[in-house]
Amino acid sequence: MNILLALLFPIIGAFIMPLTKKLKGYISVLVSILSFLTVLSIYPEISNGQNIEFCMKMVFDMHIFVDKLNFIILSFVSFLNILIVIYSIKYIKKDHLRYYSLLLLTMGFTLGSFLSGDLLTFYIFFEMTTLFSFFLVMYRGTGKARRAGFMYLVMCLTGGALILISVGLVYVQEGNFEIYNLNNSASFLFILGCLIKAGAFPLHFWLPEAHPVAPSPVSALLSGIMIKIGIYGIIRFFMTHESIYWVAIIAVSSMLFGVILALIQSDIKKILAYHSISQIGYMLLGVSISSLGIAGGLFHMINHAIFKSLLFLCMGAVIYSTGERKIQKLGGLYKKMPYTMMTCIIASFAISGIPLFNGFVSKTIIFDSLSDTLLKIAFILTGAGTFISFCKLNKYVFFGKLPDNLKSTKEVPKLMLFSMIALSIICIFIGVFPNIVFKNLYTGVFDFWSLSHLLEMSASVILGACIFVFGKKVGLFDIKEYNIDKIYGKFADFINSFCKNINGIVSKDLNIYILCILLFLIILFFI
Amino acid sequence: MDIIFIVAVPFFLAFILSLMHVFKKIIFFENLLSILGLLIPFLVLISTFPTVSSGNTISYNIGGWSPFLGITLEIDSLTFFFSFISLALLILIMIYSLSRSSKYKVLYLLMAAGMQGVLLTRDLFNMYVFFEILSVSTYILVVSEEKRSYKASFKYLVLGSVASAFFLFGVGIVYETTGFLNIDIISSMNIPQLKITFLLFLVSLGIKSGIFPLHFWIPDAHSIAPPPVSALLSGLVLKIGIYSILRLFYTVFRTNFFEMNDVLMIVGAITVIFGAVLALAQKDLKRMMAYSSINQIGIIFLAFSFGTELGIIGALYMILAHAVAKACLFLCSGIVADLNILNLESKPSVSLPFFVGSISLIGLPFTCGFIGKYFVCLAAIETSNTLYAGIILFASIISAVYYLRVSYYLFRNSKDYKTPYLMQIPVYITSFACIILGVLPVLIMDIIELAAKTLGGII
Amino acid sequence: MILNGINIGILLIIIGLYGMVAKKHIFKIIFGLIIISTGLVLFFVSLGYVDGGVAPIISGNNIYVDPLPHTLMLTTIVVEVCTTSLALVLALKIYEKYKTLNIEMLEDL
Repeated sequence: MNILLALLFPIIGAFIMPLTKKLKGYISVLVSILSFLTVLSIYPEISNGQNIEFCMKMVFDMHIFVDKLNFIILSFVSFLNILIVIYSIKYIKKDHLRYYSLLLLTMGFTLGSFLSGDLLTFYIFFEMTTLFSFFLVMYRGTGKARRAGFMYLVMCLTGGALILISVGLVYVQEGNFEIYNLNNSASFLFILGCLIKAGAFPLHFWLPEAHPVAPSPVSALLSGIMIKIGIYGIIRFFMTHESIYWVAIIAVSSMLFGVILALIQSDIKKILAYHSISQIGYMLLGVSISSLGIAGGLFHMINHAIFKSLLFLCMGAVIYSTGERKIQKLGGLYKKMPYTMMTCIIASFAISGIPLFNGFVSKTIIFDSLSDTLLKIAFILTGAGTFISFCKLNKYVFFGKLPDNLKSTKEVPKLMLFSMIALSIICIFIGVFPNIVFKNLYTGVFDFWSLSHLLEMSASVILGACIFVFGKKVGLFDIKEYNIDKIYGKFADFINSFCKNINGIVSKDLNIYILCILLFLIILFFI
Repeated sequence: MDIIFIVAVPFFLAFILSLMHVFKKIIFFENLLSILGLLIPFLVLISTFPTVSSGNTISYNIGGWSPFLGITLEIDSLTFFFSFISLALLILIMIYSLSRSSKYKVLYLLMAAGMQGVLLTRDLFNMYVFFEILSVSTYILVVSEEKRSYKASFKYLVLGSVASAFFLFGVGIVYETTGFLNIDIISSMNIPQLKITFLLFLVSLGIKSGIFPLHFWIPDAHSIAPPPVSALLSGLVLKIGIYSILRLFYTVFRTNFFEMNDVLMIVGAITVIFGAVLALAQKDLKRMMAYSSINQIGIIFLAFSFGTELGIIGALYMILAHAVAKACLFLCSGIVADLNILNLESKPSVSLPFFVGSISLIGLPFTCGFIGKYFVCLAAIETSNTLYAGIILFASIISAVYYLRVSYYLFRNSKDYKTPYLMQIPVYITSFACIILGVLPVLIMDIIELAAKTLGGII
Repeated sequence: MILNGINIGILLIIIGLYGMVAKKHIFKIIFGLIIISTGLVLFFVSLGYVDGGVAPIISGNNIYVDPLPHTLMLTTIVVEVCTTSLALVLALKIYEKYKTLNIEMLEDL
């Protein structure tokens, strides 16, 4: 029963929001700390090997299930929630009621989806997170935000619909909603639904629209936590130890596609969003290969939550201080915002997989579980691409010449810095002591510091560095604009004109109505 | 008290109210009589709950004539379910519209009497008469001061009369083939009916419910009528048509219905898609909600045309969800000032119930609409019609787009203005009911399952 | 006999439906409704015809036609009068507001 409080605290906090006048941010922090402590309080039972499960009898039975795998994810997610709320105390300047209540509701339901013990509960929390994060994505209210929000809503609801159909298929065949195995149309639909939520390659196009357009702490929440719900669903519910080839293909294409597109963006948050797609590819690759890979994928889930949130928070700090989002207009901020620069560099090292940071440990595990040479090559290429992209990002944002209109930028407020520094400390900590987390995920030993692993990782970094230096000389990284938005814009215009035309087709004549009735009668008579 | 009071009290009080309006006008008594006229039937209905929930039925023969010769009123679980929802919503909407003229209240009570009559009667011709009472009252109720409402009411009148004519035609053919008019007696005789009879009833009740080629009166009448009348029409009158379909098709026309299963499923699917797509195209809030009603009726029709018990359970849940949520939405739209979607503005005490009502209609979890949608999809998958489950989910995604668009605009543009206390209460109660019925539908669940068993699905 | 009540009733219904489908004047549509109702009444009453029967008023004869359709049709005629009067009032109001009774001219919704 206690673990349910972890999810109920944020939701009740959201309902208290209208009653408090000024202290909304602080109450939210309090509520998220309470939720984190609730999660930690079940640690004694978990470490003994017991699993917590219970069933709430409402219309349907909703099952909550916590075991070792779950516990690690839950504790990191709830801790991340605290840091995001602390960051947004200073970041969000107006309209607090709407923001904090939606944020708390989203956080509560996200925790719920990691707690779910059967398919129907998972579906229920999946849909609720989509609903509330939709309003958060549309928070800014600009036309671009609205379009991105609707695209996000439709895609995630489609994912939810696919999951519902698979839940129905499982129920009809099995009679309950417990964990089920592969080779089935139900599992195909379920994995497809989860992939839409995760943002894997063919169905990813909502991600680069929705994540940049939200406020920065919300982007951190979305990119850091919410896309992991999909991966968690695949691992928990449809996992065997065989490999799923088609998921591996999708994973590799996400990795490469994400990195390649990230290299040609010029909006800082869009770069990070495309990198989310490629990191999701890493996780999917790990999940689809072997059981060691599943552990690697899970570990990468946690690490990605940490360093991607840190990156979004850093970029949010840059936007907060300067008001600019394009890299052409930024530069030379290392003097004005030193702490931001340091945390950003730590996060970039983490995402590129440099040893002593947390990205290295999870990427090594995934790389080790690969057996196919083609996959290994793709892996190294993606690693190189990631390193290049972050070199470019840091160079253009923090180094170089400071533009004239940015001469008066200051460092961000201390509360925001607190979150960023806390996250970077965790990055380094996990990078140096990976076994603390890893022993909960896998029942074997893994030698992180063996020479072969170090060499493999270094290969991608060195390759990246070479290409970067070469590319700078050649001018390969001149900024171009690439906009998938145009395709979606055309689609939206098409739907608009279609709707207007349909309204004109439906006739208003009474005679036609009665004619339709008679035709209906006659046609049905002859069928 | 006999169950005849459920039908007779609103009639009687309607006449007293109209006389009072002529002779003496005391507002307090008018309000009291109109609420009493709905409260007394509600109490009588609740007093029948113990008998009904254990599976028995309560009958009353009018005038003491035996069922072979006279008219029987009967409450079984299906009737109880519909009657309960309709009386509860009638009371709430009456509270909402207590400030309207007494002519409105007279017509309202007549309509309530007609509605309860259709639900309780077991005689085919009596059903026609009560349908006419219901329809004629609503024809007049649709009229408001707007110029367009006369036209909308006229269209509604013409189509409703065509529906009644076809209904009567069908009754005539049934009488010719069987010799009786009592539904229970006809269904126990087990004579297969002619296809033309079945189709006549389908068309007639389809016009009253709003299935695809027969729905044309709905957008005009529901959008131009005054808000409480729209809530009644959308929430209840369409459901009375569905009730009649359930009552007649599962008893009198059983063989015809199960033969034409597939065709009816296609009709339902087309209605669903049509309603959803056209709702997306509207600029007026109430017209959009009218098309959304067509969408939901299509889902309900699709649900019970699968033929299984789970399908009927899903259909009944969706009926409950749609009645409560649509009433909430239309009542909210009565409080909003300007109805053009791009110009919406309102205060939080209206936007929040609207939001809750819309998430119930979309089918998001923890609301009643989710339970309905879930059971309907389960029924579809059970009968290997997974495509229809996909169509229903597709329609619910489109409804998410247009409803959440409106919710977003309502939340964004905040404007503070005073609304009468009496108008706020039904809005809160209905939106609260959406969530409560979704989380803890304890009593309702038993009634629904009992009703589904009574009708009895094949396959 | 081809000209029995049932066939003429159905013929009247078809004529009424034709009127509603093809005519544009509001009064003609209302007439269509009335003709449909009349045809329906005729159809129904003729269903109850028994060979050799007389009107169902107690006289010395043995066989009467079926009285049930007669009673039902009395009710139907009353309902139809009510509906028709309502339709005519609406037509009057439409004329007052729009100054035309052609349904094509009214399309400004």
